[in-house]
Amino acid sequence: MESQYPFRYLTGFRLRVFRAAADRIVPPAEGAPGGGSLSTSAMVDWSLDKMDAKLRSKFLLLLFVIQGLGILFGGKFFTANSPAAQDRQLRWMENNRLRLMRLGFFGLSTFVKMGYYTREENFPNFRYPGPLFPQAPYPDPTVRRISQGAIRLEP
Amino acid sequence: MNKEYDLIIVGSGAGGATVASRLAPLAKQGVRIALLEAGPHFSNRYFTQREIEMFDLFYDRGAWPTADGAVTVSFGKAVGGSTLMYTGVTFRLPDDVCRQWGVEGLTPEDLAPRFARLEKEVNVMTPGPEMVNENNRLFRKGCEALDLPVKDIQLNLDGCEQMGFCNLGCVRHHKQGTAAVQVPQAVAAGVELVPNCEVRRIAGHTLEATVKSTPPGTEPGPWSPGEYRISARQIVLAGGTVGSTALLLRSGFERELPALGKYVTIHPAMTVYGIHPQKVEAFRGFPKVYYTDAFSEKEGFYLETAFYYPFITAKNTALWGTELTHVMQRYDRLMGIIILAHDEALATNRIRLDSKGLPQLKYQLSERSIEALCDGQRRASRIFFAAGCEQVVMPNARQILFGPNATDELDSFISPRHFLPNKTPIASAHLQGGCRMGQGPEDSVCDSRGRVHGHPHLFVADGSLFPQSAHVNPYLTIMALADRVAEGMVA
Ligand SMILES: Cc1cc2nc3c(=O)[nH]c(=O)nc-3n(C[C@H](O)[C@H](O)[C@H](O)COP(=O)(O)OP(=O)(O)OC[C@H]3O[C@@H](n4cnc5c(N)ncnc54)[C@H](O)[C@@H]3O)c2cc1C
Repeated sequence: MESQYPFRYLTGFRLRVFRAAADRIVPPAEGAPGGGSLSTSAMVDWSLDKMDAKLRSKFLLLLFVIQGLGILFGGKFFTANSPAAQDRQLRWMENNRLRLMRLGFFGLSTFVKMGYYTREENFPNFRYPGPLFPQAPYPDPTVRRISQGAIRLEP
Repeated sequence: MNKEYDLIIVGSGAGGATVASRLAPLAKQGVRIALLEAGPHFSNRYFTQREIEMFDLFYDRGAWPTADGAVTVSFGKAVGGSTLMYTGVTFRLPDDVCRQWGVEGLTPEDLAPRFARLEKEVNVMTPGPEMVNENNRLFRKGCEALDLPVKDIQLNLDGCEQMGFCNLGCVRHHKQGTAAVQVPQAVAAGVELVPNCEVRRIAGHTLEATVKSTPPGTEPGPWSPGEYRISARQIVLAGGTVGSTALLLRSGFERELPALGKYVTIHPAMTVYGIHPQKVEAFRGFPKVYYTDAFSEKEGFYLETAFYYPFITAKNTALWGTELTHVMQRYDRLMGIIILAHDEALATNRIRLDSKGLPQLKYQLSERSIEALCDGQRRASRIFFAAGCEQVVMPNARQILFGPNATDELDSFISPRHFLPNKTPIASAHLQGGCRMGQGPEDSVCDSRGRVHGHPHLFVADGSLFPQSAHVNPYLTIMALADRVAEGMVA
């Protein structure tokens, strides 16, 4: 196992919110891990670094908002609520009359799906054989290592 | 740093590279021509067939949203432009659409020989039976069971090995995009190709550009990083709908050309899925060989076969939770169809600049487009079930994932009532308009030969010229228009 991945954006409570939401969006199934794994978060953290700074700040702010809004759905912060209350909150955001709220949910679920479904270690969970040239090199080896589970992940 | 050329072409995609290859013989005679490209020069060694890595080929990593975030727009930023990751689906502009455009001098008769020449140049062929993968075979089966006409899609391929990764860059350059055909032709004739060079402004005959350092793993260009002032006798803008329009807006052309940026069309698209009882493995083989135009004239959309990699598929479903995992665990059994709606050209759908001078697309889906997308989902559901699918995924259904029992009431089950912007995943890869052709500066930006009104030395040669939607996949039409622009310049 190679060196450790340095989380830059998904740290502290943000990481906890992201992981809790990710496990609702892609729940664990039939022995396969859900989206809340640290490795999905690392893929997303890596992508956030490549993103426009303004959009990135909006996304990080969204995690703060989700955490706070949890109070309305289960009486506690999002991360402390039951899975059922978390689902209620996410569904409320998804179908909200406020466009911004819907946009927030769409952005969050897109990130989770990206982090989960582009990870090679997850490919067998959805019966995808992956690339035909698995050894083709990529100039930034970090993302490949996260994707293949070849880097230590500690928040 | 200062540079001087006879001709500068901005952008190396479908339009720019066509102009470069047409005018390349002049380079042999000593005319100094440079092809400036904002994106890197990826060789095919770069293509790793992995979604997250290959977002590098796209502008904003493939996720450029419209101003309200309701549509995700994708286009290339690379030598080859969007032809680097296009599928190679080849359509001629339909004659009736060409006539509807009503651009003086632009007739089906004028375009036909250009199409024929270009089709030869990029090896357009009808795929044989060996290229029909299971997804396509089932689409045909479904359509035939419903008595729908199924047509072959023409493709521009040479020696395709049917790996199925067209939209992440072709490892073998078998897809005959401009990075494989026109750019090398132009460079061989003496046209100077400058990657990583973004033109920021034009003032008269001078362009201001910034050259960035070469990203790791890509081919270096001839100019070192820095700021450049380039003077040219003639300038061709081929940065695509977003690039060319933004450049003219940043350079202050809006004052004299009020139509600049307006009338953008995008072919709003939804990819929908059916779950088949048997393995489909649509991710292997060539993704698209069939389409039906049965609903083009009245309902306003095309249905084409389509398939994407796992992340984009998961995104397209609009599902989450256990329904998402239910569908994705059956990824190898999914069939896919793309619904491409013909949208109207409206002045309110336009490219504008944000406070930082970056382009934004203000676009609102019309009621007609939403109705067309819903109708497309109804038709696609029937095709999936007729092909033997057990369940289908339709984002605008009362219940997104449903079985064949709902087919009796599809009209109410799938409905614009269930369409919520920013919830329903809408995508676009076919940007058109923004510098539309027309008669004069009141309601257009360029004449029918791409010359910017009032600026005899300045031309546009890309998808931004379209006055309205092409209805069909646009690259060949863009090349034919670029061919006209080049011809007009030589004349
Ligand atoms: C995933 C995908 C699949 C597609 N599949 C098909 C298909 O099968 N069939 C089809 O007909 N069409 C398809 N298309 C659409 C087609 O590729 C485009 O319509 C076409 O390439 C557009 O041509 P263009 O010349 O207008 O712009 P582009 O090909 O996008 O080229 C514009 C180039 O200009 C550069 N540029 C922009 N601004 C500047 C600047 N200021 N300075 C320097 N350079 C600049 C850009 O970086 C870009 O490389 C697809 C597109 C995508 C994204």
